Amino acid sequence: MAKESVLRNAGEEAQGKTDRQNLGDVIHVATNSPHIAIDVALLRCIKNMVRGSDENVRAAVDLLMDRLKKNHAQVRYLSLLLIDELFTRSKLFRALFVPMFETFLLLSVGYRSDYALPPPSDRAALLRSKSMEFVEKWNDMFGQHYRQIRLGYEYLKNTVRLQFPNLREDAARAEQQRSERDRRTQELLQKKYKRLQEEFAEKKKDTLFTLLEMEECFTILEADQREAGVIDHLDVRSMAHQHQEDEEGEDGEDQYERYGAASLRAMHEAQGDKVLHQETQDNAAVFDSLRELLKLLTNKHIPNTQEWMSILMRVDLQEGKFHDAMLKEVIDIRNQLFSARNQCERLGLKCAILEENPTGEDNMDGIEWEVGGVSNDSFEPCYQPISTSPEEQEAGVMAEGSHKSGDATNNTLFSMRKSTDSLLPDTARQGLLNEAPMLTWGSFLDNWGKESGIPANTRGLLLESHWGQVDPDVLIPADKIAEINMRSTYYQPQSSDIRACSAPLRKGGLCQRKDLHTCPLHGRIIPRDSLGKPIHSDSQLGETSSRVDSVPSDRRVTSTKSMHESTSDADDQLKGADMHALESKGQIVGALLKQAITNVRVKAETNRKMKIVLRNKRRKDREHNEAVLRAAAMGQTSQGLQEILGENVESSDSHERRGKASHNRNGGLTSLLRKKPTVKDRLAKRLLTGRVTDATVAQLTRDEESSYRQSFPNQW
Amino acid sequence: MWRELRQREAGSIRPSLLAKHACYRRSRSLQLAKRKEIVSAHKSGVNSLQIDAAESRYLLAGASDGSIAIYDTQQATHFDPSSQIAKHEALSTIDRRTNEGHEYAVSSVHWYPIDTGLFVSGSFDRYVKIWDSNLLQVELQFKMPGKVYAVAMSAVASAHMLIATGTEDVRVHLCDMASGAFTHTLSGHRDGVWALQWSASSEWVLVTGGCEGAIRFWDIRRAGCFLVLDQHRTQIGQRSKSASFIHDQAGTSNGMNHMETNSERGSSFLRKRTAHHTSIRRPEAAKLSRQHPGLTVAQGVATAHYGSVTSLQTTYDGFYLFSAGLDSRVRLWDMESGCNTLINYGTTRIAGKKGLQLSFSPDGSLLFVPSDTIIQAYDVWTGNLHATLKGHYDLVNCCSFHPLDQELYSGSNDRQILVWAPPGGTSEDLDPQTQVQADEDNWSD
Repeated sequence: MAKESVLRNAGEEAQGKTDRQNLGDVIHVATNSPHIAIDVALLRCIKNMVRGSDENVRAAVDLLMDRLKKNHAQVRYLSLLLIDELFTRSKLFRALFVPMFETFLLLSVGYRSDYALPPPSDRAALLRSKSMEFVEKWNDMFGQHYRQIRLGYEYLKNTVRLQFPNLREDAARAEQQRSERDRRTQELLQKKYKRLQEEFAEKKKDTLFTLLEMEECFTILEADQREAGVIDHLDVRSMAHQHQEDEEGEDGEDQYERYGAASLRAMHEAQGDKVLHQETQDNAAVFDSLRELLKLLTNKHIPNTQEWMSILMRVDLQEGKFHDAMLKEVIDIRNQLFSARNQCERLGLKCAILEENPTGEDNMDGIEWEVGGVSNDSFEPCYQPISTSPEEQEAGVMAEGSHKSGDATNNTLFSMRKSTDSLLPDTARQGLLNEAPMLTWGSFLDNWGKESGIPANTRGLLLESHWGQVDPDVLIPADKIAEINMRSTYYQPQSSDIRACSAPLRKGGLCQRKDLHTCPLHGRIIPRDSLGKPIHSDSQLGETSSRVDSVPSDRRVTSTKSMHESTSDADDQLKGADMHALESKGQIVGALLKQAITNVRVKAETNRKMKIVLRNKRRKDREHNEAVLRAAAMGQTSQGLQEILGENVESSDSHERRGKASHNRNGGLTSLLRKKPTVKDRLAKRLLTGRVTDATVAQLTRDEESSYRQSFPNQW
Repeated sequence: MWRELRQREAGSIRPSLLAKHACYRRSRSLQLAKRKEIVSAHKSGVNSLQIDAAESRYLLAGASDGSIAIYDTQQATHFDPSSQIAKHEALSTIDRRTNEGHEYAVSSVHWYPIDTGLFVSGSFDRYVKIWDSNLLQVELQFKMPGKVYAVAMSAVASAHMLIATGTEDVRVHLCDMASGAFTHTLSGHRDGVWALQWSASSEWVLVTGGCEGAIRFWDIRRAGCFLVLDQHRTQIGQRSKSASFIHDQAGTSNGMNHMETNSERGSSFLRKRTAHHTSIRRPEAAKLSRQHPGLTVAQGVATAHYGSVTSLQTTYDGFYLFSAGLDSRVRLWDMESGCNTLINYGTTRIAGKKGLQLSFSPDGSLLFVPSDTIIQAYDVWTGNLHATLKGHYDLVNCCSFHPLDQELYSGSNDRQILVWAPPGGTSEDLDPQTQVQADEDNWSD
């Protein structure tokens, strides 16, 4: 379009045009588009040109001010965007632009009522908000150097009292709030950290003690197992244990490190051997204590360590040495705890613990821990034995009931089958099922097979929101209930697949239309092979007759009456023909058959023609009636005629406008200016045409009303 | 500049000429002052500004919210080192909350011509009040029959202390500060009086401009007005005789006059007054008194403007009178002959419902006319537009030229008092490095 040519021109300097003209062209194109932003290529081009020389800056100021004076908000808006781009970049531009700042404000903010912003209004609003944003920004950036900007900003803010977006202050406030929040959390964390420092040693000892006990339990179990002779790589294990026992008296850290190594090894070995420890009479006490310890571990120690960790990770400290050491310790303890727990799980101790404390992993404060995947499979074994047994009993009871009544509902069928698997032999059950009718579920099933009556009104609610007397003795008799619960079913046609026409198409493939008898494109539907060739079975007669016979009853019902007639007619004829054919074979049969078919076709054709004639006549009648009604309605409303005329005028008008619009489409800016039909306009138009029909309806109702009043003078 | 200084050193030009040239150049290069700001203490439009005659230091401002403030134009109250801006805040403020403060808009303020211990304010609440500027107390007050539009005191008076007040009323009242009573009532106008000016040459001559468009000259020692200016009685430009006189005076006594210290001023006033009064004023009055009574009637209906006269301003030497009217015209009158000099000042837009203040540079070369939101600087004798000062965002009401600093102060309805100064700053010479840092080209691409 123009843009490309302009860009090209701007690119080639040796065009004979001056810079100023080039710049003018580019700015004109850039500000003359219906888009909400300036084209990036054009913007870059303008920036490059303006940057080129001071002369160009001067030219740009003049040109942009000129564009800003255009009586179109869109042009002004785009100019404003350009001005901002240049204003923030070039000092000379600012120096030249600032003396005209008042004019600029007048044209872009439009703070004076006698210099209102030009249409279109949506762009004008955009222009105003944007320019205010820019003025604020400029005031922040350059207000100190340019008094005019400061003055303008202050005037708009303090005297005109425009609401500036106040971006800087907002950002500052948000920043301050955030820092305040951070500070508060840090304070809290510091407090927690202090407390942690105080009680860390004690708690650590506690935790380690628990772990030690558990480890001892594990070793006892190991020992048992070894005695049983299942595994015998024990040297490592015993060494570790030895180590541990040796150094028990030493300081905590060292001991705990060894201990960590040992337990990790133990874990590794436990993974290695697949055989599970079995709880027996002998080691029941060990298992019990282990269970206790595990409970303590998951309920107390693991959450504790996790909390410590989150505190240590989030707290912000100047001196990091002690903090780092502590963090390391905590991580190690945590790993140990998890490994111990894993070992317990491997011993089959998990379910009980998890049931007691399923929320062990919940209080993690949004920090990822690599625990995962325990809860799902741990719940399943617990669930099965508890839930199945009562269900089964229940189902059994229900099944008995249903057998007594000799009927089964859809709903209970499933559970019944489940339960009767055990009660009845398979074949007998299958037979019964085949016999049983299917019923859809309904409220009638509540009172299924009830002998006694039902109390009539126990709640005292007579009608809606009206209370009456309660008589507990009144019963609704059973036969009455049965009458009330009379079920009604609706006929549902059996769905049968309709054959496709499958006549070969000219472009290849087969016709996929599915019609009952006749494809509107390919005529009668006949059986065809996979290529679409009609299959001529041994006798045309047999085929047709069988087809006519095979028309299912429901199809016959839905088919049109004439079709029905014709088919039945054909039926008769064909039956006759059939008999002949049985007697004398040969050509006579064929001739007769043909004759019959032509007869049928002719009859059908005449029927069709008659129908068309009738339909046409009815349509004419209807048109006439409508015209008469319309005329009557028009006569009643005084504006009727005008409306008609107006409508005509308007429609022609709109045609013209459409023509114009197509002319103006390329402009873009003018289309912005044109008033778009609002929803209100459209509704009004609709109502105006609707008024004619409304008048008729009103007249009719009025007549009806008057007759009604005459016949029932006392009522409304 | 440097060349002239050297010439003066060498004695090839006279010192006064150097001063005159400097003043001339400076007053012709006015622009919005970058490093001097007056922080307006007013919450509404500024109606009246005056720099005191004694020291040329204190600026008195009256505003539409009834507040009056005094600013120091020399000494900044606050200096912002980062932006190098000197801020002049109000030294003292009187507003509605002050005891006996004006209730409605202050339309006009005036320093006591001898010193800065007193000032006079006239307000739309019908009072003219005389304030002690140190105690900020009302010393005297006069109740007027209507809104007060203008107050004026004679700068050259030595025999009286009269305040002339222009009000809604058709009569001009003269209030005597010494006795606290009305001494005169001058009736002759057919409508309210928006503009008043004492003659700069005679302490007895008062010029008033009314809403009916008439400008009347009064000799307060006599009954009735002795001259009504008629816009159709014209002469072309300066009279040849006075032109040379003016030129001389601009070069010597006038330029000197305002560069001189305060003590010397009284004597120069005295000299001028005696000279003018004896030689010029006398025959004029005598001539008028011999006129046929019918002529005075004919004179009585003459108009100077086709609308209200919004402002009057005599030149410092008292020979000429500027007037502006709602017909958006500025006229220069020869006070001697009472003729319109027919100098065509360009298009102005004078609007508003009250008086304006014109101002002109003391060397008599530039006239500043508030015109809508801008101030136009006209060359006095050619009427050419010299400069347009843009900066206000609303109607400009008044402007006042500082005779020593060549600065212009202007007050407007946008509540600001702007300082227009020659570039380069007046007192502070600042290191330009700081400014350049933030304000420079920033081409990112």
